[in-house]
Amino acid sequence: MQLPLPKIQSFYLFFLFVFLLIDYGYSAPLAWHKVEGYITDNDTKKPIAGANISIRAIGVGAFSDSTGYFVMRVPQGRYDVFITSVGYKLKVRNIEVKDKIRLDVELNVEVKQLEEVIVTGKTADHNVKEAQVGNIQLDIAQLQKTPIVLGEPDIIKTLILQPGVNTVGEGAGGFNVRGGRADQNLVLIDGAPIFNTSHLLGFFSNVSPDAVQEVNLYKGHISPQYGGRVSALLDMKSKNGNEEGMSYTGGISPMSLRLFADGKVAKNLTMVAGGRVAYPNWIINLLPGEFNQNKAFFYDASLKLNYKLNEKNRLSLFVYRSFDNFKFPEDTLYRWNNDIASFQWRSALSKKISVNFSAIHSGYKYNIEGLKPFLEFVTTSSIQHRELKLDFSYLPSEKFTVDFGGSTIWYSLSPASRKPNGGESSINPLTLQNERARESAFYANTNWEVADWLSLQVGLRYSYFSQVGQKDIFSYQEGQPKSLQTIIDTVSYQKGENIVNYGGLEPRAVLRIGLDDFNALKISYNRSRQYLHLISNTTAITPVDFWKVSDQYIPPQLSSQYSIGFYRNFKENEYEASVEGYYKDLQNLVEYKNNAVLLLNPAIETDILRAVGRAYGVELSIKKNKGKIYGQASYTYSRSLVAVQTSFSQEQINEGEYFPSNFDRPHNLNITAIVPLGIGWTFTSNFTYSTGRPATYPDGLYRLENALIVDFAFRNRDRIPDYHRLDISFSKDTRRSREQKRYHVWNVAFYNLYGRRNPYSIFIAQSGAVARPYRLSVFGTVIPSVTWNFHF
Amino acid sequence: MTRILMNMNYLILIFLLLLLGLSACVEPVGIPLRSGSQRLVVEGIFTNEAEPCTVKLSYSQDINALKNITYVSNAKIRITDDRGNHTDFREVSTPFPYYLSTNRQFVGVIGRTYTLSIELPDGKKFVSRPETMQSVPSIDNISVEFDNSTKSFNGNKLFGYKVYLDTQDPIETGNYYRWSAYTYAFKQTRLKPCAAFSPPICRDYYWCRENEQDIIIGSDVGLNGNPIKKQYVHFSPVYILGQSYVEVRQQAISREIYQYWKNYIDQTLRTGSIFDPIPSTIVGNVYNPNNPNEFALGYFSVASVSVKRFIINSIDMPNGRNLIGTYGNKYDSSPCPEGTIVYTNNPPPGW
Repeated sequence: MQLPLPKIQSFYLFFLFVFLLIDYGYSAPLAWHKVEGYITDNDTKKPIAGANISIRAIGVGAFSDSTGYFVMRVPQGRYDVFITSVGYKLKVRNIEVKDKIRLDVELNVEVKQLEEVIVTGKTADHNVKEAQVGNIQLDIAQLQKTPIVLGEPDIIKTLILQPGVNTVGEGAGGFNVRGGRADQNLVLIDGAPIFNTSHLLGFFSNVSPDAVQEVNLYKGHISPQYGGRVSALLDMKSKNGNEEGMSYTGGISPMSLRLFADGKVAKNLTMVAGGRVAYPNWIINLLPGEFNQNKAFFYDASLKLNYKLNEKNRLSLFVYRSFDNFKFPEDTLYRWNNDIASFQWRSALSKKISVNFSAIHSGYKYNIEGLKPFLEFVTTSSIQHRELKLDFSYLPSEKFTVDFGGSTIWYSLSPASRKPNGGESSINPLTLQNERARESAFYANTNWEVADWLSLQVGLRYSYFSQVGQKDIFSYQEGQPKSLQTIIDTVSYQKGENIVNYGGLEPRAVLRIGLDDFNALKISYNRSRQYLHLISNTTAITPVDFWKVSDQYIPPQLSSQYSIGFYRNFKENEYEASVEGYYKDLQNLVEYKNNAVLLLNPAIETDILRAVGRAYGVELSIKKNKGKIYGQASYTYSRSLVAVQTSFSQEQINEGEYFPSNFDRPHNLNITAIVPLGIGWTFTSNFTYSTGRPATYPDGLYRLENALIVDFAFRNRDRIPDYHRLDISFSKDTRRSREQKRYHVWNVAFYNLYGRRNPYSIFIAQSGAVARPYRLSVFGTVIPSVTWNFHF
Repeated sequence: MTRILMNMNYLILIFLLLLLGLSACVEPVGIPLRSGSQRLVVEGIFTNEAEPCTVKLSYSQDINALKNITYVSNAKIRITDDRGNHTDFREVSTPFPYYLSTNRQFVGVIGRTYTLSIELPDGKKFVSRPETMQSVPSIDNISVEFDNSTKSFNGNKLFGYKVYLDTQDPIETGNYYRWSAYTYAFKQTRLKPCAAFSPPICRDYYWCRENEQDIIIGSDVGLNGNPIKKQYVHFSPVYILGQSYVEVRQQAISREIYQYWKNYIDQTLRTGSIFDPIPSTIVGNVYNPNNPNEFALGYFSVASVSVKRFIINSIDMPNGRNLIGTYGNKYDSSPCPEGTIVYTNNPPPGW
């Protein structure tokens, strides 16, 4: 379907035509051909209106219309076409005009590196104008200038400074969004889930910011395209590779060395490849006492290839690996790695329909190697996620768009397998049965701008889950707590046979009411289901926690989130302010019996309890986008509570009452201020405050034989002291202009500037006849660091 | 290039700064104290040995107040087996109130099931779940290794032997072990006035019984039916060169009791790290039959026992005289924990 050319454009073309006739009127008659195409945003795939397409050599040009479409007539020949648009990087394409030509160009957002904005929106007034609730977009360029521990730019640690996002503690893996657990976050890179996001037991996150172009965190409303986790979506898109030659970026921090190559490797083929290698041992050696015997090592590496098959079809491949090992002296060696491959084929079926096909593999595996003489063993656990996904995008008009599609995931889990390691080991081999499951989903989502002041996003997702054989399932005596003693039967399922099925609808919607150009009210509802659970009864998640699919004893987790937000921009979008409130209802959470044994437990359901949860909060945020000082301040009040549901008194936790989750930290205050100091220097400071996390303090003490035993009667009834910290950094950017390609960025940072000994935990240590509470501070002093980043 | 080198120098400087700065730290701290309700603590071990069975009853305390343990007097206690036999208990009041079984014929038999019942002075009742006596394999072999690094006494090195045993786990699964041991260590008093015409250095020699303080347990999970090799069971101290008399006991305990001690050990291994499981109460096998929600702390353990005795002669230790000296080290007159002092050069009583 051909759209009528807007009048102004026809006029402009006519004018050019006349002009060219005058210029070339007397030369030999040339064949003139139509050059047409679409200009779109490379990230959002949305059309760019008003982009200028010009062939400077002959003075021919055109502007794109609101659908991104342009057309111009060009004499036969070979030309450089310059495509420019405000806020986007200039792109030059060389074309040979022999016949009618289709020229579709994707422009990249110009990263405002010289006038930093910590968290950028897509447009200055996006937070008021878009039907989106609880969305945070991270500016990757700013990451290198933020003060962060040991100078290691870190996506997740930066997100933790945002309202609604927190963590169990400093150095803990994972993150918690709006009262959700770490395993309830769907963390995607190029569509592939990352099952463990941490290096070094949790101190660093394992995706290098150098590999990433865009980071979006969805705390409230999540597009129905995504599912399978009940809390939040962290969507990371890897860099596509620039089309103009090769460039290199990298850096040196006290912890690691990074190097990435980015550019064109062949015709229509771009690449981003690189990685990071860490040398943390010299820092571990600085730790006091017995800690310094530990040894650690990690790396992560990724490769992205982007191939333009033709004007309508693009292929891309992203491959990623992260690896860690950690050794406790002469005792245990831990190893864990993520392996990811994501293949995508994007095709424009017509001007209005495009399709994206994805084939995804993501695997996570860990090893525990026991090194004690005569008890040497290796324990392995792994999860494999294989997914096929088809996403259609239909844009019938500027005011109405529809996305729809479906996906199927095959899970294959090996919960644990233990083998003797060495001839004299007395360990018997034990392999728990593998788990297999299938998760399919269909969705449709519409985005309708009903009027200037009203827009509506309504979507529906249907997901369906089956656990399949081969597997033997225990049945338990009715009316008794599940335990090894109450097993009455074993039911065997054949390979491929359905064991249990779950499924249901997941409606999601956002309504935006624009009160005027600078004020908007948004309401959203989001329901999701989670069929995969991380089994972990430690305070923070660890690399050796394992995943488990839903089965007949562990139904899918279910969450419903209601949120409402008021957004106001003033001084021409210089300030963005928002208030968001939410209430989340969680069903079928996984909780653990007291002293549960999880690893290598062939009847894990005997140590698991079912729980309900509720989380609610208010997030206040004000952001200043420009000026001599800019930054963000946010305050969050939030609660996260769980209650164990069991009909057996001996299994009750806290007498069945609601108790705080491990990450329930009601008051959170974050202030980030950025001051450009001139000649490339920037001063950045972060202040963060939050209530101490819940802890379990002793309720009593008693002696049994020679042992002194501490009694903990109630879970999470106490709190460790409050947490606060100030970090500052000075960074120097050696660029003189935005176009400069070779430059470096120095970052001198002081983490925990006033050296507060923030408690990471309070625990009871016993030695002989004495039991005494101790406080552990992970970073008990100011930690300076220097990081050097280069681009050339 | 020089620029980069200069930058590297700068980096090294900062790294040195970091060297000085970085520290994780652990320090004592005060926490709010709760005076929660006191809970009954039961300690009862019933074995297949001829000695009378001991039961201790006490109450749990505030975290800082353990010095004054409140023991329970005037309770009525009985152990019953699955054939209706039983023994009652009598109270002994020194050094603190505890209870001893009165029926000398009532000794544990492998395969039978035993139940402990308690009636407190206020009439409240507690019972244990029935516990079956498991059979215990014999101790096949004992080995010792001299060690001068692991244990310390008031910050000083304490010399001694690490004691290991070998045993054979039975074919059937679900065997749980607890090992305990004691040493009659040879000691001497400090210098004392000598009698006339005697040698210039005068001391008295004596035996001091030292029980193993650590809780040492094991299970056949992961190694069922296999030999258990070089299982550490005891640290046998050496104060002066001479003979030490060591007894090692291997108990076959139930899964519940094993789990009790396992949870206790996990609790003592807490370092405040991310690998620590969430702390929780340790539930034993004694509860209030009228209110199944009310558990007593502690347990009633039924165990069969195999024993092995042996003598360590530290005079044979290579380099022993250099390490310890002929006249022993300076901890020679430290108090005897079990109070068993026998002033003699002859073996301790019963050996």
